[in-house]
Amino acid sequence: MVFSSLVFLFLFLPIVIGIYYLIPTRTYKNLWLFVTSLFFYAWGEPIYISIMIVSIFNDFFCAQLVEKERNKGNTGRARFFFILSLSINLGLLFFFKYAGFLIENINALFHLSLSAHKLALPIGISFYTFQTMSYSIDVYMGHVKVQKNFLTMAAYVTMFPQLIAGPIVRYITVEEELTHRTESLEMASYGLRRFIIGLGKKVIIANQMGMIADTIYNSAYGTPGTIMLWLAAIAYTFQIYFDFSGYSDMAIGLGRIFGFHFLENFNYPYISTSITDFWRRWHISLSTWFKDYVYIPLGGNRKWIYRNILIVWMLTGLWHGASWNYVFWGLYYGVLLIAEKLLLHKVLNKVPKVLRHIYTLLIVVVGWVIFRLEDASQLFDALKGMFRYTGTSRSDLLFIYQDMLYAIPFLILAVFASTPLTQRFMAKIEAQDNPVFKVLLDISIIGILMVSIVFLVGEKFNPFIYFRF
Amino acid sequence: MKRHYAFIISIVSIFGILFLGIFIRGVKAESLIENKRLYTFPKFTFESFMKNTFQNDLEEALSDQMVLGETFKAKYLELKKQSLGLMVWSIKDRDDEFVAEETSQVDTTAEPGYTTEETTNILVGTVETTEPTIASEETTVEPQISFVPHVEKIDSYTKDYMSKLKWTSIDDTHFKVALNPKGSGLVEAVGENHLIFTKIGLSAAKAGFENKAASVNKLAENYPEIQFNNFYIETDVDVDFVGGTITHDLSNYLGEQFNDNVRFASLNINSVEEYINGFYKTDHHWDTERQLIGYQSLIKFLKGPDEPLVDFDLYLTNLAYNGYKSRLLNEFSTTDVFKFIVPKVSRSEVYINGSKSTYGNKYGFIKGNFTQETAANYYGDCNGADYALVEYHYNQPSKPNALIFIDSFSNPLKEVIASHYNNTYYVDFRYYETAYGKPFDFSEFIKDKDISVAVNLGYYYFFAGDTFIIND
Repeated sequence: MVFSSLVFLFLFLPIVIGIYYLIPTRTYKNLWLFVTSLFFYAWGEPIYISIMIVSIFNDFFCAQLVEKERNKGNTGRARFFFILSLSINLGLLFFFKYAGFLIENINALFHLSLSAHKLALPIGISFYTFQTMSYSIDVYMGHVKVQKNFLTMAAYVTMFPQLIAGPIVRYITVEEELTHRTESLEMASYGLRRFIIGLGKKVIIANQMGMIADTIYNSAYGTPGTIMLWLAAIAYTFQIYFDFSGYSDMAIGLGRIFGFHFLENFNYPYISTSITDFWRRWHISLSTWFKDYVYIPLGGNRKWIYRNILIVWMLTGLWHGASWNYVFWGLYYGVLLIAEKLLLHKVLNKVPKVLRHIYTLLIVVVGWVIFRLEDASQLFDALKGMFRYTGTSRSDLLFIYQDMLYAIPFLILAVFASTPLTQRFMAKIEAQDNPVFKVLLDISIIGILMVSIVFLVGEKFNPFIYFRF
Repeated sequence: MKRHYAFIISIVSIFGILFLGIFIRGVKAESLIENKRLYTFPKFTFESFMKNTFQNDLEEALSDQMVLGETFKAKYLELKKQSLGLMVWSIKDRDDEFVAEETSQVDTTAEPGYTTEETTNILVGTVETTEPTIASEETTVEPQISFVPHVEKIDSYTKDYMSKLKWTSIDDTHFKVALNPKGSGLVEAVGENHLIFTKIGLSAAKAGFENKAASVNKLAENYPEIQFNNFYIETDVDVDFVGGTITHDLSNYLGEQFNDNVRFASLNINSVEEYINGFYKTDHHWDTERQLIGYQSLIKFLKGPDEPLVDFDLYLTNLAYNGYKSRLLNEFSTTDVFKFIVPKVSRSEVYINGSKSTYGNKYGFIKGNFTQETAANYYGDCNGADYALVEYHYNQPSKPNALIFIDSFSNPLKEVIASHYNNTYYVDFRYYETAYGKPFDFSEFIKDKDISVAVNLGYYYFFAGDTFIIND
């Protein structure tokens, strides 16, 4: 199930929220969240739900054993159970996500014909694996107390607001709220508003940007011209942002409805003035996860800094997908971050902000092209086409790419919505005493909801070609 | 606090009206605009849940049944149309606007007209006229309460479409047509408002064609006693109206994939005029002019040039016809006058999915049993719908039995094609497994029905799609 589906909006969510608020006790509320989250996951993955349950059991019991052994003074055995827990988590992730990639490359390198499994990737495995690992690591490091209640642990891992697309919620963030949280009308109302804004980002903006990018990249009429390639790259840049940040907004909003305060995952990354700044604003939960659990243990800034940066960024790329373009994308940023640390930052500090902004956006847009195009020859042709001019005729634009023309005006909306202007405007209204503006704001948000529903239903317009002929 | 209550209650009300309102209004069965049966709320079974079909069906049902759902779809399409129009207006060079009179070679057709056996008046709605009125692109079609059906037999019918088309001919295979993009893969011919799908590239077609040909070649090897024939009907997706070229690259490539012992022919579109006059403005199917040519070509191909051909009566109605392309764009202002052909053949027995029946409703249309409705599917209503298996038994034991795999292009011609055989079996794979509960068994069928001729008859999607692959 996805947040932007009619089943979720009209059936699942009203029932879940309605019954949640009727349940009187915290334990049963957590039980309800756990059960409905399992149902949410099973809706799309009826078989692979077992993998997630194995992952929960693994971290729950291993953490108990780590704590038990540590209390006995057996640090060696505690470490053993910790490593066992990580191995099982990473083993599952590796098996489903990376085994095929590894075998493919072994076959290519050594001219073998090994066959990989053809099992599909379980939805959200990268997110919930990192989530459960963060719990195990924090227990081992002594940052959090072990959770002795399986239901509470399970509710934390499976919580549907952030289960399949993040943000990666660390146990430490919600530890207290799992057992002691309050729900209020104000929080529920804020959560709903945040959810609707996220839904609008996804349905109204991201989907139209996706139409532009897909039409151009999937065209059967050869490599597009330079302008079309840049248009596709910019559209994809917006698509991925509004898709992902929209989902994060929906997750944070839903969390708030249930009394949880998830951390922000995006902070207007496209206003960044350096790559370093960009990665403090983009997918914050992932970059902090890698910083805290990989970069710092490797030595961080203290030892082998450039090696650590490259390792972290290679892993960041791999986390996103089992394909060389993702590895290349990760290393692309690793190298640029090193370059900024070493010498670019001195240059950037002297350059006007607008130029720093342009430099950052250029790097980011090209990076997204690398991220989007898994096929190496298509990627090479696209990058070549972006920087070596070939024209696009008016006829090509009108006819070959006509299916995406209607979506181009949405670029204006995308540009506007990617800046903090709207947020600042909304914050000003909330700070005011005059209720009229607040009511108008609410009406606008309801308008976003209605437009989102129109788009969701409208996208399903599918006249049947052959009925009754 | 009041503000939060008001906000939440507003949201809950919206969801309540849109969803719970379904059960107050009642579940809808069909959408005329989308020309489809609407999804209804599926029954939960463990098997359907594990296969994900329950989830998909529920999502579709919610979209189809939602209160104001059709309005939302219409609004969404309208928004897309306006946005597309704005972009086309801003991109298009005004100087490119093609004017036919300024070019050196201009093709025109005869003035619109027809001849009848007797002079009659055609009534369109309540407007009476002594001249034939051809529904123009300006006509707005709405359900007409005062509609009086009119139908008459005519000798011939000449369209005036080419005189309105803004185009020029460069040579036999090159031309230029003024077009407007409409979205959803469609362009519109300026002046004549013909909706045309853009050409499918050969690279996109190859895999599908190769699969189809491979399956037929394999059958031909396994069943050498059966004569295998393939008849490909070119349509707009075979002609590059944007680039202005006619290459027959798709039909040529398809033909090359079949082995020598498998016969292939295609009904090619050799000129803009052939396409414009032969096909509906708003539908991918062929109009009566092309149906006649298609029948003649097909029978000559299957039975040889000496096979006597059947005559037809041509009937003209006062119906304004909107086809699939209109529904795709949700635009119904452009229409065709609806005509149909009735072959002069002897009676036959017809079976549909094993039960004795009648196919189509041409005789009902001859009697005027029709009403004007926006987006109504007259092609199917009159000529016949799609079924898993349609059989014609002509009791002509000296002639062979034929098995013909089809799409909906055969619908107007099923009866007349079958008159050249003893028993003819039309199989449509889109519906076969649902109707019969099992996939089509070629070997069993040809033995049971004593088939000696097998034919694949259809257009691009029939030959390129996986649905129509015959597995042995």
